[in-house]
Amino acid sequence: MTDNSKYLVEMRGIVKRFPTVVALDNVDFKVRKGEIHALLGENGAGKTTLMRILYGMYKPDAGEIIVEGRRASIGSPGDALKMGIGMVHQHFMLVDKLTVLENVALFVEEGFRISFNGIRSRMEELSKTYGLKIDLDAKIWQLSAGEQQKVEILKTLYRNVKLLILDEPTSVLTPIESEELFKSLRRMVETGKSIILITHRLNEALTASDSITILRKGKVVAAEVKPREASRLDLVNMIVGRPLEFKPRINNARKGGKPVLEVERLRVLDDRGLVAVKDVSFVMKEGEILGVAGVAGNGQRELVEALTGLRRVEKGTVKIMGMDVTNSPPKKIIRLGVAHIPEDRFRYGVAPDLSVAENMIMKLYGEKFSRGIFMDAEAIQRETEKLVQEFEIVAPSVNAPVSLLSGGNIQKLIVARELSINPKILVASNPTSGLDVASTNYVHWIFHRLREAGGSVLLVSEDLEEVLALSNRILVMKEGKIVREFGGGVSISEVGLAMTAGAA
Amino acid sequence: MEIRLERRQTVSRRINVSSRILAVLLSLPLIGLLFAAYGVNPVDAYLRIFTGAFGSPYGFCETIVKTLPIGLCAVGLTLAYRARVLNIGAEGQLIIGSMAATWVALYSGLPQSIIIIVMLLAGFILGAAWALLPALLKSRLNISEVIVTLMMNYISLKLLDYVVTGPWRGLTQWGFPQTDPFPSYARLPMIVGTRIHYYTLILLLASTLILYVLMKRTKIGYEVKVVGGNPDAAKYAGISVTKNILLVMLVSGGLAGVAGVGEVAGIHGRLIRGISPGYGYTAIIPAWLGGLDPLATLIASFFISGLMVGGDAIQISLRLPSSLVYVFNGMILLLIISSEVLAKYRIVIKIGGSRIWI
Repeated sequence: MTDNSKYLVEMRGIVKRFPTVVALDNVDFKVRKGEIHALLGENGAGKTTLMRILYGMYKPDAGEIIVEGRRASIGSPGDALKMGIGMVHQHFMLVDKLTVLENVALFVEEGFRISFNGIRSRMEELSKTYGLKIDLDAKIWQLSAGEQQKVEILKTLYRNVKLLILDEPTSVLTPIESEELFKSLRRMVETGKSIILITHRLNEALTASDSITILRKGKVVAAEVKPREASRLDLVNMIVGRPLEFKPRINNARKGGKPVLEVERLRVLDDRGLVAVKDVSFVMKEGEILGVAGVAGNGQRELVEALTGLRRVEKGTVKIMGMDVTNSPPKKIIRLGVAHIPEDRFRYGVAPDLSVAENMIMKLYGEKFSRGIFMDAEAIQRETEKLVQEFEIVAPSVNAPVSLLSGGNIQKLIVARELSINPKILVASNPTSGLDVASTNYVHWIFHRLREAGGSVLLVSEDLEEVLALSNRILVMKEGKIVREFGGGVSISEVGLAMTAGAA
Repeated sequence: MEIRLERRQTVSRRINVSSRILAVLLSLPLIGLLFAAYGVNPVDAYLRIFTGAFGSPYGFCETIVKTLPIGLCAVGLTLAYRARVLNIGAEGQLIIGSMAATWVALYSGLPQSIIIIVMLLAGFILGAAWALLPALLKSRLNISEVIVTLMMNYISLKLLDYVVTGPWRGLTQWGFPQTDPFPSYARLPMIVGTRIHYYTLILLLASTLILYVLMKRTKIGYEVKVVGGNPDAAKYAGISVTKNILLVMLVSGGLAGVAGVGEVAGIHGRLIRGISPGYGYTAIIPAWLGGLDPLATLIASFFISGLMVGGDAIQISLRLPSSLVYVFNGMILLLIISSEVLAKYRIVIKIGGSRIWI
């Protein structure tokens, strides 16, 4: 027997086959008591699959799971929770129209009667202990993604979990929110809980975790790496298996480039009818990457939707290539060469029941992929296969529904499609969220290439590192206004400060 | 032993077809229990249904006669359902179409040579117009088309009752709730010796083929699919959701209207109360049974029509209530909807170390 006291969970020799691929090939994975364990790997490396097995959502084809020294049979998430294993998914499982308290009650109450007072006092205690502040009576739809995540975490804590699995928790968080999350996680670890952190952000693994395991193509390439003993480069090499080709560098935009996007005194409302974009004006020039930084929910989404024709402009004008496109239909804006990588990939980005091919041609179906009124099946097949290969999209086939793809691969599909229209302007919202290191690098290289070719990118991102690494200029958005503008070579803390303190 | 569901990585055509056939086959023993409860041998009942519907030239022709309205409605519905516009109003659209044709036949005073064409056109246009209101309410105000189309069925029924008992009641009909018979030049010609009005048959076959090609091969079909798949994504891709909702509703409403023309000008030769025994509702079944594919839906319509004709046969010969056929239809629809699980997931049965899957 191994030393039972050291490990909370051991997974041994886990094999999981899907009809077309071996997702996990003899994987060993161990988590100690009281540690934050980061699980790294590319999209499709098997991280999520491994964790879904641990949480009882999938059954392994071979291998065993040992929880606290005893062999465990985890047949369902219910079993997992009984054993003290909880998971927070990338997509939250909350009922929008119910309050926080009601959602928690749904998750924890098994009897006929619900004791809301009991739940309330317990929740208040939990949120105090772990520093997860939340309004228990707010409806879920009123909460930001970060707040919804808190609800998800509190829900599992309520069930007294010993191990909490978080699947890319920071992908929906702002830098400040991420910091808060890690503080809370630290508190949990101090009380003896263990945490598994699936992430693509190497800095998080290096600074916030106690131990790192790396998966590549369904196999463990390094286990229990101590963050102190590894560098960022080591991690990249282990994750990708080869060095990355592209190092982003900013070459200053051609001076006096023609303005391609002119926004003047733009006013846009949000879904609730409140002013989300307040008289914003800016100009983007040919051949530049213009970054828009800001804490999520400060009008960036509404701005992007207004620029791409998805949301009504209340006041002000938008000009693209000198042409007034204020409140023009999306089709007209697309025809002018504007591509759009949307923030919410599931809302706008894809039609999940349609095939990879049908999703890939969504922007050019009327031009490149049709002859007269008929669709050109051959061209669709050819082009889709080309793009799937170029962007290394993992899909059962080009005719498989998109809903079968992983989040990262769906994002790759969207990026591939938007770049395939040869855009003059690319409006990109969090373009690399959910992408692994290599794909992120590839996307950055493509943005760079687009700029070299005279295209422009409006890069709206919560990832400050990304914005700083790529942008010629950076606008900081706060409360619907542009509060600062920075040139290249600014430091992360300066931008961060402007985002939060915001000297207007 | 352990049984569970696993998501299929690809949904093949074969699985789609076989899961639906399975649904129909499963409904047989279930309805058989009902037959048995009436003291009728189920096998005997099924044989009688089958021979009643397909076993004689008369039965076969009658099956085609019913396929005309059911098929026209069902094929139109496939387009709407593809766009996830759940038109439940084919019944009302059919009734309005039949009323439009009646007005043209009896009151328009148009020349004899063009009257049939105008009747068919009027049926299409009024059927489409009846579908326009729910389409506008859905696309402009996001009001559920299910509720509106369903409610409008009742309105159209009341309108029909009003005209056949009121202003259009036939002078020669001894007070029956029906109009005077149409003049012969306003009747649809029939294949000799049958009640198959072949203009409608040609229109059914043509619209099936056109919609099949439209959905499979054209830009319009693609747009409809994206709108059905995710309206927000459609908007994002520059596809007009409003335009497509209007289009599919107008086409499905129009075809249901043409079905109504067939009933008044082909079968009855006049407008009567209860012109449709629920064809517009029945048509929902073959649309799903055919997997929203127009060709398969046409075949499914023929099958469902056969059930109705066969159902009439056993009603007389075995003295069973006619509503059994509707129970049958309902059972098939329930099973088809359940069988969609089979199309998307496969059942894995684990016994000891071996894995069997379907």
